[in-house]
Amino acid sequence: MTDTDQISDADADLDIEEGRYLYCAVYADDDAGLDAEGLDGEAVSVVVRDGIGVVVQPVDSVFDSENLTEVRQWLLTHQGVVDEAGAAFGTPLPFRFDTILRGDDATVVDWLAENRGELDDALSWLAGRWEYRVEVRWDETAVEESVGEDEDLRELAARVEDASEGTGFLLESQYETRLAERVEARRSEVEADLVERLDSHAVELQHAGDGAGVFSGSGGDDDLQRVTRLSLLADREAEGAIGEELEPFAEEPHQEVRYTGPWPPYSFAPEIGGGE
Amino acid sequence: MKHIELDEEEGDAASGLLALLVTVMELLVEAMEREAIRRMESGQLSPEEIERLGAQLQAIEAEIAEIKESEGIEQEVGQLRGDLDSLVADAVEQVRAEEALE
Repeated sequence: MTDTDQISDADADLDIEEGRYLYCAVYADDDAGLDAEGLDGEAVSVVVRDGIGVVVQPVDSVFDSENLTEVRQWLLTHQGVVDEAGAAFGTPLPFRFDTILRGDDATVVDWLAENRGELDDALSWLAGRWEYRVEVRWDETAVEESVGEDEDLRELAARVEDASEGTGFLLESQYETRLAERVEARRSEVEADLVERLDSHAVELQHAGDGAGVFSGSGGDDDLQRVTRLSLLADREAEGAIGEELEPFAEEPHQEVRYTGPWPPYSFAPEIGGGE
Repeated sequence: MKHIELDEEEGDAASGLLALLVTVMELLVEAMEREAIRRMESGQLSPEEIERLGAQLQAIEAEIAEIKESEGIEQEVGQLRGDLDSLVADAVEQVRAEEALE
């Protein structure tokens, strides 16, 4: 985002006389177009230079709002356009939401020329690869019960029963701490096991943060707690193999696995023009 | 960067401040509890001392619970703890991600 013509979200000046909103870069022919509805219902187009195109739309201000519903709607529209571009041209190199270039289509062509090398490297690295997301969740109450079967914890529970009030209070607190430690240890085990099994099928693998569940669909609609969430960059051909690796995790009692994708590689897209 | 809201509802800074105080007290009591347990486990305390310490901590915890209920700040305290938790969790997650990728 250090490109001088590029406006970042933090830019205080909301009005731009003429600008181009950038969705993503793709490999495209000179006459390429894209039939998709952009932000505020505007049409999008593909500006191409020498085999690499950017999906753009004319804008005269940045997209900034205090209204979360509106922002969410924008994000979904942005993703929708990137999805369409992926379907039409193969794996896109998505840009961050609200990436705007000050100027017209000719400016975009200049920008394409300027960043040709970086764009080509990124697109060829991403070609045929997509982002997949894996989330493991479990019923923590059930896990606590099963962890509590441990002899050490059972003995402690018995001591709580037999103790007088003050001592019982401390012992119970100790019990809860140990239980939480065991649950955390098991969570780490599941996570490490998952990473180990998936690693060989992925080009890259990341722990995904707690970000809003725009990708993962609606979470929190049941009583399950998250064990871990990973993002993988993988070849399309690895999709089935990843699914197979996930089966044992899904078969565990009280445990559920969500596997989504292919997504445009949002988590793995390098920033373009940042090295200047 | 996260910041912690004391007056989410307008003009409610006093109850926000109380909630913060209670949150800090809760964390302090929990730290004391852990220390008490550590000493109990390492055999530094006599059964009488354990009983007295446990009873005191239990009484303080009950007192805090009562303040939270009578002042109606249970939710705010929960929120503050959640904010603190997620600050810490973010940091932990970052370290974990870095380790996993090494």
